[in-house]
Amino acid sequence: MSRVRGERQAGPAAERAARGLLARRLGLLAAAIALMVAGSRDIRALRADRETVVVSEALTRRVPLSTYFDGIRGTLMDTPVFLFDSGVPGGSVLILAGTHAYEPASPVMAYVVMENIAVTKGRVFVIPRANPSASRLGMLGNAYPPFFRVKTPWGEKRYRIGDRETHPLEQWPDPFTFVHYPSRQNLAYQDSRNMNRTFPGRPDGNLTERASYAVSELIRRERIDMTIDVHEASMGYPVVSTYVCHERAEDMCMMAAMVLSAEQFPMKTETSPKSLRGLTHREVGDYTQSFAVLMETPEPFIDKFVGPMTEELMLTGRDEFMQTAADRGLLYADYDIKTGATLDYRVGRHLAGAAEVIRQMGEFHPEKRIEASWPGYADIMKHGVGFYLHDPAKADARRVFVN
Amino acid sequence: MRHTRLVSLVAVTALMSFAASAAAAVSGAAPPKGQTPLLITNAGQGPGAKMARLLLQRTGAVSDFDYNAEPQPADLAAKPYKTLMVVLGSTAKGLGASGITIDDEIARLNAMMAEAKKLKLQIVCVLLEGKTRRGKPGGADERCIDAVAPFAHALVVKKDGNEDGRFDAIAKKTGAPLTFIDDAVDFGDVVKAMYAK
Repeated sequence: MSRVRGERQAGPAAERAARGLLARRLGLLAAAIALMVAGSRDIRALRADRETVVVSEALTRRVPLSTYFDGIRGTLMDTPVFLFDSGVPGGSVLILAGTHAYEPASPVMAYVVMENIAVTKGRVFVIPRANPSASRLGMLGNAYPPFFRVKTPWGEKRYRIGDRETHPLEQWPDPFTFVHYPSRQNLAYQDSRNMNRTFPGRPDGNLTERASYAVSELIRRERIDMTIDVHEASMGYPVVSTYVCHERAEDMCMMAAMVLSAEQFPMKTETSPKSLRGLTHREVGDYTQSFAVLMETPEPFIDKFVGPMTEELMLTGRDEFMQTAADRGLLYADYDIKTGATLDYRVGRHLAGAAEVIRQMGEFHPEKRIEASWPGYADIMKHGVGFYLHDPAKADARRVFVN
Repeated sequence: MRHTRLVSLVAVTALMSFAASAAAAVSGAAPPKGQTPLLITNAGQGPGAKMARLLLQRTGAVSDFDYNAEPQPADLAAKPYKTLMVVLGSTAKGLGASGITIDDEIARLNAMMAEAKKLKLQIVCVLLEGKTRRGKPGGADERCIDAVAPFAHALVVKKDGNEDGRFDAIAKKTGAPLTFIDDAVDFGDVVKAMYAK
């Protein structure tokens, strides 16, 4: 018997068919929800993750970044700012880490500073996660591990690896072309979420621009003498193992690079090009009174031609493809697979690199001298990063913070 | 735990001890006798010339000098310069900052060197950053070396920049004295020797 389209079948058979259809639909919906829940488990875990830091007794204040610009209050970009103030007049420095979250030696360097610093002159500000949103995103398409673990004398400490840009859950959609403010230079669309392309920031811009503006406001209002933006670079990038400095800071950087190269490890220096906009070493130098410095270490993990991007690679930097590239003269820094470029090496470089350029600021400008101490390159190479990270379970609870 | 101290006294002591030990870090031929006025410039728009200027200023050995990142031939005659110090090294950031290509830079260097020869300037060629500013044959760094080093009256090279013997070969061919430094900071001692009274 044929039915007219849309005509309902009557009787018990029709009711059974309708119930079956509903059950199938509900089953499919449940399966989809189960898949969504399972599939988003890692995303939710990353967003909920908190890193622990046991700050040194030198901590004098911890404030949210929104203290300096209210426009990021209540967002994931409202990152904590830690101040270590000696109370003795001198210079001031901001260690800005995690601008690019997927360069992990940067926040780890900041944490080592925060856990071990002593200050007897001047003020040291530390932001260990400048872009907390980016630290809660996996590198899209690269099969990145979300975390890495550092061995310590008391167990393992876990940190997020993160991504380069702000999480799309915080800022979406991207524009077709990102127009940098205030230069109006056209940049790639994803740079609208790249914190090292959105400086000096703007109060009515997108979230990443507002966060950059908040950092710029901190620098201006606290009269920060030197801003050190801590990064890592791929070894196929010419600016690896380098200070990139605003022209007002170049003498200090050059001197620091020469001293480090002679005494500790190879270090180059480059002057920030005026035509490339949005980067801290350009915009912080142009739009604040601060000497702007950016530091890069060699980080094979973020090179494009390495093998599997594993936690092991992130920690050791040992990769056979990298060695092949080195053998063919394609890298901009020395590389030997036997030693790789370990997290210890990279963190040690940053600790010594920051210390030396701060010291040079005091040499060139005695009124801006800072007397602060933290573990140096030789210390880290001898004992490892984990040696300098403290056990939160045994620390004074007032010194334990989550980030 | 040994901490890195950012204390001025330590800093000064370190620099002094560094300077004291640096004498042993200069080897090879004796540095040439420098003349004034001195013009410091670079080949490749790298940071080396600014580093050389900084070290030179810190020695206090020379007062009559100028720095020019991109001198044109006319600039060499603008003052009665006696010595032209050209520091080798190319960087993409530097070229980009100057808004030029490496081809533009090589053309400028060729013109500058021709004028320097015409004016009979003493040419001192310096590779301050060593192997950092060496590259593959035909690359920007190597082209800068080709444009300047064969015409120099003296060569000062950070030792690791001569691992392939390239500057040995140039010195042998031209007869220019070749002075080596272990580290960039040792260049200050070369300057002191050049301008010792």
